[in-house]
Amino acid sequence: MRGELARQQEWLQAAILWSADTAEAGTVITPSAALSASARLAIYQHGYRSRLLHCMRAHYPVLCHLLGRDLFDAFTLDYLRANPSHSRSLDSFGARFADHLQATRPDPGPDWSDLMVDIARLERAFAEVNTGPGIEGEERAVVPRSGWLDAVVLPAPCLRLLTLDFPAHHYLTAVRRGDHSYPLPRRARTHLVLFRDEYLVTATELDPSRWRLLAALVAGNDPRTAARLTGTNGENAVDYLREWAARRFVAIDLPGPVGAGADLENWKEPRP
Amino acid sequence: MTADRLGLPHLGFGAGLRSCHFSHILTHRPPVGFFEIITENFLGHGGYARHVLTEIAAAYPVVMHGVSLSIGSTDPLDLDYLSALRRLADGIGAEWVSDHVCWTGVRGLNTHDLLPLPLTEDALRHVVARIRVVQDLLERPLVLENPSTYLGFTASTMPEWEFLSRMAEDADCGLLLDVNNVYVSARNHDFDPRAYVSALPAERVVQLHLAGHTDRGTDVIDTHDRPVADPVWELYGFTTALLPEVSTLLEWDEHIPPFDDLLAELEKARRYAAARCHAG
Repeated sequence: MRGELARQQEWLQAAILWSADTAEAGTVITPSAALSASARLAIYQHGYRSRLLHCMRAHYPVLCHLLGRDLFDAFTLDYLRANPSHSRSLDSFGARFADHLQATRPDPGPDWSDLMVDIARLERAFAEVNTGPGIEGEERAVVPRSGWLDAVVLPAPCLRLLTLDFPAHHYLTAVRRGDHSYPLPRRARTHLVLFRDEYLVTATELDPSRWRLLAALVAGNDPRTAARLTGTNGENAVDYLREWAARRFVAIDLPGPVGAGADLENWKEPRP
Repeated sequence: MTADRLGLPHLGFGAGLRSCHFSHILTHRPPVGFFEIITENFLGHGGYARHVLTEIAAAYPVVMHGVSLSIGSTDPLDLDYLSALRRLADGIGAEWVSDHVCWTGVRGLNTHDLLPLPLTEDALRHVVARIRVVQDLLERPLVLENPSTYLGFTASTMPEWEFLSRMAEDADCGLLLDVNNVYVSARNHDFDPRAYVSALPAERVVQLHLAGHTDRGTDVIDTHDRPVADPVWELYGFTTALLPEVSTLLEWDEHIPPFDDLLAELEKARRYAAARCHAG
């Protein structure tokens, strides 16, 4: 059975989030010398919206620039109504913003709405890679000479794969750098790898076939299976995998005992 | 008999750790007694900010100040959050862990605001019981701050200072006395801020907060976006005469100035505290 405190909290929360039952304000909230009960409640209602708007503008600065403050705020308030926060962290509050924009955009979407969704996805992924677990402080892995197709591939925790309708990463980088006159990207299917090393996030474009192979590996397939699923020649798959291991996108673990260095080499200078 | 400040150390004058100051702090190692982090900015964080925190915690005392414990909520306590809180506190050797006497949401929702509690016997029992559980789980005293409030409940039956005093005694926890919040709430609820400060159990006050606010005439909002206001300095001087050996922390969260401006504000706090000590 709900107690009085629970009822009071549910009422106040509903009044703040959805302006529900505010006619009751005078029976729950005391007035001050200068403000009515409703006016005092309005401080919290306004504070809730302005705090989360502020947070979203900080988390999606490039999208906010693209749309302009007024339109960005309108979309954010719509998102807030549909997705009130369930998280302890403000970082997580905007996690579904791109999905919300995708679901509520005009259909079929004009270019600007597709670009808007791409930018939202990219900014979110960038933030996750930037603040999530990384590989800093880990020793550079020893890379095997052979046995690649049977290796266990472990994707770095700071690796994200994205497909976008626009090469939005150039635009994002430019605007974050302060170049607000950078031209909008033209529509072009783009396969991206976001990765963090030494606390620096980079975006790398891959051709679709390589990207699909990497995606198959990240999904948990062994190299032999990933190559078969993506129609990649085994020799090419090994070349790609060696490059990704050298760049630390993935770590490599060979099944069984590793010979005393005879089969290993240390990659001191990863290929660009 | 509880030891003063629950046996927690006097750390002097500290500043909130904010990312815009990372480079300055790492380069210049400014003369502050301690840093306070916003706990949620580092929970589950594995990026550069967490790396910087490790560096700073090796060089300065660090205290943790949370905004999501929601000690007054009628939702169940979030055990995952508390586990993460403990891991972080252990990981950086936090001197203490604080949060607010408030609730942030119910029914699984989070308003991300520090919402006021009705000051009733029912709410007091509820909060005390939850503090005990949290302290058992964290295996350290919890330090709780008086929030700024902008509304009161018709159901309230006691003043905030009585609620806090009884809460601290019954739950055997510490208090973080935010001097700016006392002033802000005093203006919004028309009470005497000095009476508020005088009524608290001095031996349980572990830390003081200072911050700027926005005076809108009809109400005062705790905005942390400007220097400490003169009436708050006056109240701080009064407070430090009562509580001469309590760590003081300056909060600044919007329009954050260069770190040297924070040092100047902390120097002002030092002068106020020293003057009151000598006068006393």
